[in-house]
Amino acid sequence: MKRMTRKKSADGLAEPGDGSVPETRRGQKRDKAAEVNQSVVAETIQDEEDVVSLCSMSVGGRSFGIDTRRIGEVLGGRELQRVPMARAFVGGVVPYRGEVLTTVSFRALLGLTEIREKNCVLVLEDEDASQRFGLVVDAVGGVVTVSRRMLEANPSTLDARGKWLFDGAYKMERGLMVQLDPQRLRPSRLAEAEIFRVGGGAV
Amino acid sequence: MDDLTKEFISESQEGLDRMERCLTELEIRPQDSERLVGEIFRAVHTIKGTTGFLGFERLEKLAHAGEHLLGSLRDGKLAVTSELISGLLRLLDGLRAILSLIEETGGEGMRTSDEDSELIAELAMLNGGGVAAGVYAHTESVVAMHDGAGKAGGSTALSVAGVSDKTLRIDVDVLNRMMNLVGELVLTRNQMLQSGTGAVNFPELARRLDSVTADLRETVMQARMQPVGNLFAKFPRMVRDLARTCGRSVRIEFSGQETGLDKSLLEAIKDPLTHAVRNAVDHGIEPPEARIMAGKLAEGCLRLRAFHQSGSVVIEVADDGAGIAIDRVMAKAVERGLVTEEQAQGMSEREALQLIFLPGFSTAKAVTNVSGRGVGMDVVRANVEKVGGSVELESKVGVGTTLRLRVPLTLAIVPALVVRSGGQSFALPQTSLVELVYVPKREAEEAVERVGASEVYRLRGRLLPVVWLDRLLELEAKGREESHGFYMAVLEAEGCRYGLVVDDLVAPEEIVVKPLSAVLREIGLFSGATVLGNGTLAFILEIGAVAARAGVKPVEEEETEEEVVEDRVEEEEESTFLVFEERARERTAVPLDAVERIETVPLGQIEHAGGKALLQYRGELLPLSDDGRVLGELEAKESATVLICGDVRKGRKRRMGVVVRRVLDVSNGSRLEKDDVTGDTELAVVKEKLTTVHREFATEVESAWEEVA
Repeated sequence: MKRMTRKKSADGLAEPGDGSVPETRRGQKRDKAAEVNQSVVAETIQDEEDVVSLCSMSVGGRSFGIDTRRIGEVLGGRELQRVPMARAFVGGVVPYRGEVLTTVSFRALLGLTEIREKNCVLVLEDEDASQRFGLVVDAVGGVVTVSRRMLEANPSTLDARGKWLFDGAYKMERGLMVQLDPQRLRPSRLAEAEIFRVGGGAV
Repeated sequence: MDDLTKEFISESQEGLDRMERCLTELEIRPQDSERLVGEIFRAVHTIKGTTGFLGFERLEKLAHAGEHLLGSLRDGKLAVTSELISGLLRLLDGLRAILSLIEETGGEGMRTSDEDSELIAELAMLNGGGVAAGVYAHTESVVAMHDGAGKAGGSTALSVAGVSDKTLRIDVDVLNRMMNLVGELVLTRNQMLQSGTGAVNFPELARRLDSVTADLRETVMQARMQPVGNLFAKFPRMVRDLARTCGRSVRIEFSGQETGLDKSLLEAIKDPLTHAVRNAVDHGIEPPEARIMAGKLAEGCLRLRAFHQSGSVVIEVADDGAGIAIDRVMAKAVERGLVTEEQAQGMSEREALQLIFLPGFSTAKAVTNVSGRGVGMDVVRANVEKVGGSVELESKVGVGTTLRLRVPLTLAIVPALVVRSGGQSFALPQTSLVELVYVPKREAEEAVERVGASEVYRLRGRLLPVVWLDRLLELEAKGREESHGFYMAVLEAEGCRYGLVVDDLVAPEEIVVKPLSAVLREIGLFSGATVLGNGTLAFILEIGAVAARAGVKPVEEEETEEEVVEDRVEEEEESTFLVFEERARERTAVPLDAVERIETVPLGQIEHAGGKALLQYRGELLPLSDDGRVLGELEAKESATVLICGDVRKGRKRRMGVVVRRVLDVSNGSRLEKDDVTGDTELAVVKEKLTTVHREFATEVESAWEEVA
């Protein structure tokens, strides 16, 4: 299943280097997710050391980016099932490939109020795809290819929350795009971090 | 490691398992030696043959020594003695140790070669017939070797588990059937894709998909089923070794080895079962002298039984040992501070037995190296309940103890009841569900009563703690329709019994259990999730954990709370009555244990013959007693409320129906002595009100039955 997805995406979009691109699920899920996929465009740039392809997304009007190699799939317009008594950052659960996918609400992490409408879920996975989780964002933009030289580290004035979540910012033409590190967004990591305990429902 | 070696290892391990079984059997039934020795010989011979071919010299040497000894045994030159069996078992451990070494490192190693030569020498000595003098001279080295073999055996067991966890033998037929079904599934899918949802034959296709899926599921389940015998197979050897260490004489009997159980479940109950068997040998069965004194056979008997019962598999470990002395259990529990003296006084035998399942309980007089280390029955129960099973214990002093592990057929799919609360769906496993109570809107106000801050519901005369699911989970209180009342699921797990209030019942469903991520497991209330028919997810509630979160304590403890204890003392002198109105404005009662059911019967179903009202009820003709002339007052379309009663007290098999106006209450009361005031009617005081005991159930009226019949 996994391999097939990857291959098709490479064929269809002619992605340079690593062929992983946010992919929508085929079959019955196609209609729902189509609007997300349309904007996913890959620019053909020569495969260089300092070129990174990021998937851009927006949360609360701000722009963020995650390395596309960590993104398994984008699920658009999903209704999330809330988890009673879970920690505040848990956005809910969603069925995904026969599994129950735990999602992290990025709005909650940023301290914003939840929107109860349909959200986009980025399925993030480890290199070996052994651990998966979802990241709930407001909207997914597309794939942008950036140079590492455009990255600048977090400002020293950033608060503890921001320091944990953000991994520097890319200086784009139109404003900044904050890079996120999927490793640090893993629910198990977040559960250990003291700063996200506040407001959690779990005892 | 190449495929050939891998195959050799798994084959040899199977051969050695067979050998182990045969060896323990041989000791019990030497008359069967011809067949058994033949089998053992073949196992060792195969290993020897293949090792020579693969070039494992160390293994070959040991196997050769063993084969030589077995050859003599087969030719009848040697007699089966317990020394010989022990020697062969050590040979088995030796072979296993080398095999596991090969599995781990790819080579047979030379580290422990000394051990081999000692073992070979011992085998040669056993063969040489110099048993008498020789063995004693070698006792020391034998003991030392035994330790070594024990360790090696331990590691082998581990690695064997590792291999068997990952591989499964499946009948080729089953696999073919699976393939056929998958083919059919693909065909159905293709048709569905081509025709689309609007097609005329869509319902038919959906039906076919349904049946194919069901078949496929069944076949996959069947493939996962393993005979319980696989698990039992290791016990003869374990019991033999244990019996020797503890100085017991134990015979082990099996039945129902062919009973199938899901592989993952088989793994899950392995440890609890091993623990139970150990307990039985160490604590259960007495030393031979004590058994003879008690008039039993010196040899104790341990029975392992597996069978199907109402959708689950029951595995029974029964011994004919000393049984569990209730007073000792209580004394121990008090000593350990698990219960107070007063609590212990008020306990019934059944409740006292349950104490064994409390953490930190062990009745072993001394801590032996076999058991009594505080890891006890609580772990057994916890492990079995983790997989959705339950544990029952029965014991009679002097007769024996029976431990019953009840496990579901499979883990992945469990029958559950889907309920809704606060706008979300939840699944309650059917195994914990005792009954469902619907409280209509008009009664909702009074139904839940309060003791201090906690809420209780009166269920047949007993107070049941009430837990509101939406409040417990801090859900938004929505989705409950004002027009109807609420449902209460009476649940029981880990000794706790409580009523869980939900907004609505959806449907009983067979749900597929999906595991949760660590962050969600940490909440501790959900054992998993499932995808419902409508595509949404529902969490599976862990009944025991919900009870703990809501503060519901196991029944044993709860009942010993002071006020309840007082109640219980009174109860013993009283009996519980079902109070109803039969004649207008009069309260009538029947003992509650005589009532089997309360039925609402349409008037049309009540027939008359010979001036008496009769009801055809479950293929039986019930005479109806209608002292209050209720039937005459009812309109043709109405229904009558009938109590179906059977008089258990007098040992009668006959049942009867009592037509009542309405059922009032279930409560305790005491019968009054007969005197002139009361005349012929027997009266009772129930809830401080005068109540007539129904004539059929008055203590002294004996002829009433004939009257009615």
